[in-house]
Amino acid sequence: MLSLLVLICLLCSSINLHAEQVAVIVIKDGPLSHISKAEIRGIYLGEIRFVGGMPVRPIQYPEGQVKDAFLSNIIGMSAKDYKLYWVKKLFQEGLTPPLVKTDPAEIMNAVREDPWGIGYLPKELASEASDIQIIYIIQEEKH
Amino acid sequence: MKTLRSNKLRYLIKKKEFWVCLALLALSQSTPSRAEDQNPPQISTQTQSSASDQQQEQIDQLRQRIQILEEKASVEDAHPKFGVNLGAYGDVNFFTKDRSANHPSFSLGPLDLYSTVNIGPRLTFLAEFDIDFDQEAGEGDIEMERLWVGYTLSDLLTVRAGRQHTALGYWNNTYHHGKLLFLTIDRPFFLAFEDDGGVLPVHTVGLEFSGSQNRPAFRWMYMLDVGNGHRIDSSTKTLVPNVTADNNSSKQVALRLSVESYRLPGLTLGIFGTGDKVGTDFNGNIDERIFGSDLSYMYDKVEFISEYYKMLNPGHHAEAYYIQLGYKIARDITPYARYETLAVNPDDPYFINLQNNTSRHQQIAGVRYDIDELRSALKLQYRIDRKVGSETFHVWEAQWAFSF
Repeated sequence: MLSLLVLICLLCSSINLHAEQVAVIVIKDGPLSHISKAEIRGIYLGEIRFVGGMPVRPIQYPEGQVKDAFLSNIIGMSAKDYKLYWVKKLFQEGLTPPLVKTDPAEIMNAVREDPWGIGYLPKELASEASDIQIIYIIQEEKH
Repeated sequence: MKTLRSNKLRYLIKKKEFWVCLALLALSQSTPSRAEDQNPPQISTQTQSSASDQQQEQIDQLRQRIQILEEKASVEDAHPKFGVNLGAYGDVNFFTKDRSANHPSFSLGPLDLYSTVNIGPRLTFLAEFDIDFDQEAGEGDIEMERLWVGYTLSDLLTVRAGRQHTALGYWNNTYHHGKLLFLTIDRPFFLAFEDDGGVLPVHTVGLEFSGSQNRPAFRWMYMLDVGNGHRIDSSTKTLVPNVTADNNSSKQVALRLSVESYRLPGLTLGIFGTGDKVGTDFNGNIDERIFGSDLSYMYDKVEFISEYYKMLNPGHHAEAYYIQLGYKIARDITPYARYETLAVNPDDPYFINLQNNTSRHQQIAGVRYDIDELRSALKLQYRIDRKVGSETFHVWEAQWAFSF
C-alpha cells in the first residue's frame, strides 16, 4: 500500500502540471473595453471588422501554445483549421488574416498605439501594464 | 498490550506515508527558477553587471531589427506576395470513358491564378484568371474569371464592382475555381461554369452589395447583385455572361440571404433568387426566374451541403438539387457521397437553346486524402452518370489537386 502510494506521488511529480493564463488585451477604457467573447471571436474571424464605425485591428500571437489556447477557447478551432479558414476567406473575399507580431512587447505597443487594436498574450506580461486592460482571460493547461 | 503497540505503529507508518507524499507533491510544484535559486552560480558582481549590460544591448538590437522587418512587412503586405495573397490552384486528372472522352484519359485541369490586395481596412482588389487548354481549338485560353474592386463602409455594407460569382446558393459563393478547396473532384454538373455547359448564370458583371451582422444567437448575411444579364450563344449552345456590353436594357438582379447559427455551430441556411431576361439569337429574350435554398453543416468531422433550385421559364419549370455528405474518418481521409439531379421539360424555351437540355442525374461516391490540407489532396471517386436519351456512364476518376 505504501509502495503504491509513493509510486503514484512519484508519477505526479514527474508531470509538471502548471496552468498558465492567456489574456486578451485592449487599451484601457477604450472603444473595445466592453466587447464580449463572441465579439472577440467575430473580430478574429474577420466577421466584425468595424466597431463604432472604425476599423478594428486584431493582432495575433506567433504559433505555439498561447495561440493554440486562444484559438481553441475563443474561436473553437485548431491552428490548422484557423489557417484553412483564412485561406478560404482570402480566396473568397480578398481578406487577409490578422497580423502576427513576434514580440509580446510589440503586441502591447500595437494596442497602445491604436485604440481599436486588440491582441492576446500570456497574462503575466500584461498584468503590470497600467494602460492595458485585460478583457478576457483564458486558462491554458500546459503539460 | 501487543495489539495496542501494533495499532500505534500502524498509525505512525500511515503518518509517514502522508508526509512522504506531501513532500513529493510539493517538489512537483516547484518551478525551474526556484530550482536555480537554490544553487546560484558563484560569479563576481562586476562580471554579472557587464554580462547583463551586454545581454540588454543584444536584446535592444534584436528588437530594433524586428521593428524594421515588421515595418517593411507592413508595406510589402500591400503588394501581391506568392504564398500570402498571390497564388495558384491546379489539378491533374485521370478518368475512364465518360461523356467527354471515349477513352481512359489523363487530363490537365486549368491553372487558376489569383491575387488579392488590401489597401488599408476598406479597399480590396481581387483578380482570378484561368489558363486552360482548349483541345478542340488546339490552343491555350486565358479567361478572366473574377476581377473586382471593393470598398467596405461598415460590416453591413461592402460595395464591389466587377465580375464575380452570382449570389446563388452556397457552392457558387464558397467555392470558386480552386478544386483543392472542395471535397469532390468537380462541382455538381448543373452548377458547372457557363463555358463548361452549366445551365445557371453563375457569373455576373456589375455591382455587388454585401454585409453581415453578428447577433447573440446567429449571424445573418446578405448579397445583392445588379449586373448585366446573360445570353445564349446558339453556335456553342452555352450560356454566356455579358462582360463588356449587355444585350438588352434589362439588368439581372440576384439576392441571397443566409443565417449562420451559433447555437448549432457550423449550420447555415440560405435562400436566394434571381431574375433575368436571357437573350437568344433566334428566340428573343426569355424571362428566367430562379429561386432556391441551401442548407450546409460544416463542423468537426462532418461536411454536409444541399441546395435546391427551381427555374421558372415561360410556361415551364425545371428543378435541380444535390445532396452531398462527407465524414472525416481519419486526420486526412474523408469519404464522401453526392446525389445530383436536373429535371427538365424538353419543350422548355430556355433549355431548348442549351446543350444540356435534358434531364440528368449523377451518383458519386469517393474518398479524399489530404497530403497537406492547405496545399495538396488526392481524390478517387466512382460516378454513375445517367442522362435521358443518352448512354449511361460508369466512371472511375482520380484527381491530384494542389495549390502554391
